[in-house]
Amino acid sequence: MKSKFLRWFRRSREVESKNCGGSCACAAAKLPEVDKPINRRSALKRLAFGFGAAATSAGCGEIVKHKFGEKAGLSWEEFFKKNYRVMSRSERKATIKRLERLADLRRGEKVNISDAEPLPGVLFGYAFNISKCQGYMDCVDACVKENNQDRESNIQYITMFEQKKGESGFHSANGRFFHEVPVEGNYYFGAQCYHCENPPCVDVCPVGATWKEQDGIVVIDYDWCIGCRYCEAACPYWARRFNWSTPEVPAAEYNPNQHYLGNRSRSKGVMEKCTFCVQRTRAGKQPACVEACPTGARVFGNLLDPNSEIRWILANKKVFRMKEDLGTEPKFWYYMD
Amino acid sequence: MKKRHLLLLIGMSALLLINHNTQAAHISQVPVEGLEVDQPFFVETRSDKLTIQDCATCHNKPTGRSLPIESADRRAHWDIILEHADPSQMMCKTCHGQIVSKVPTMMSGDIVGFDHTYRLCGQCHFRELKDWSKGAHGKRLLGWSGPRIIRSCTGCHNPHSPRWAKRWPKTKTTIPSRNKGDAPYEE
Repeated sequence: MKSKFLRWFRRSREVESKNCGGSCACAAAKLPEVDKPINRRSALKRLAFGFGAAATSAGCGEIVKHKFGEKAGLSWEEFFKKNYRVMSRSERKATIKRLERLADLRRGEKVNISDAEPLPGVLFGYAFNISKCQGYMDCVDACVKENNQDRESNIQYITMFEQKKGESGFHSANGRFFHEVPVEGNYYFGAQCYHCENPPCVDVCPVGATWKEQDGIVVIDYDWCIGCRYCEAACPYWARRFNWSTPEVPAAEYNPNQHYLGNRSRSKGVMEKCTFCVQRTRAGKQPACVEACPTGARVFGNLLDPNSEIRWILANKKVFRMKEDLGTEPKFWYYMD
Repeated sequence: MKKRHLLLLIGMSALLLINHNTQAAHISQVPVEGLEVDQPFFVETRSDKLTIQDCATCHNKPTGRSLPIESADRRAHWDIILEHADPSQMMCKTCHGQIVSKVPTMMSGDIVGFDHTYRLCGQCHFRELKDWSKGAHGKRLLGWSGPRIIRSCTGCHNPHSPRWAKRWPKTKTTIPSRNKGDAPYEE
């Protein structure tokens, strides 16, 4: 029965692709070869194309319906894609192509999504100078803009804390200050995802939607995340954010330079967090917070390069990490002059 | 290693180099000088960003006082407020030479260009100079990889009053705390 149906389906697809003339959706979305062995997943995908084509076949010339069909087909394909980690290179390219097209169809945004892989011989690390930070929060602003965070709920990946000199830790720091800075007798420090070498958030994820990359960045596959928020509870640094609404950004401030694991558009109900600006750092640039900091309190670099600035800081400065006793091994050090 | 892999590697490294070169093109830089460094690095230039630099910009007549005083913004030396250490220790001639000149001058009388003021500042701030040359102080420009281009002292600090100004934060923290009993947002 099953094989009969599949045979019918293949034949019907062939007929359809012959009948359809030129510029409609089924021509744009190239179908997989019919000789390939068919499994449940690809059968469902083809069914989706069938629906998409059905929607367009009524009026192939009308652009609106044409777009609707294409959008429906692409969305369906997206729904059945794999976890980014197990995708082959061609599958990654294909999903990126779909996402770029969908961004254009849905919101009219021309985006450029990268699938840059970890650079060989690179392990990213971060150092934060608590003697230099003045609490200006330029970093927070730059982060929101770079990562296309929702402006309505104003999700921020970086939290700035104000702390009395002589005290340390989160428990007594004020993360909600809003007054002229710096205040005499206080120091300031920023907290964000520390990209732990031993990340508890990754351990608890029930679906494998978050993992640590080769270059040490802890990333999230937004399309695989089910929004259970276990990771948010597991993170001892409170670095993960749950988005309650679809991130919406004014067109003028929208950042089209994106990475699949970074600042691309994501749906509501998934986890987000600092990715060390993976879209920038894998291209050799600095994270947006580092670039925006007017005081030079933020240092970013390669921990495996013995000549890097961060290695000099770790070897020569007084450094500490937050909650070291937990054994999470953050790759984010605080240091002082 | 196969020949193909080797070729690929060479190609990739060439691409990386090209990438860095195009990045470096955005910022005018000069190699650091007068310091003993293991790794050569660059400083962002400053001399090309100065608007009033030569005496002749204001003092444009060969003899006598010719400065038009009526426009206040042209009174370049009068608007300088010196808030740099104790006034009994720091005065114009500390950095501008015994016979006060336009260019930064070392204690020894050597003239340093506007691009290399770190040498001048480092006479007192030797710890900062060391941190700066190694990367613990100061601001690196462009990328974390590629040539190391850093901002010179005067790129961030006003040498006449180097302390950072007080101002309002650029944005406001919106993440609610999960600790009970936390103070509400300061308004």
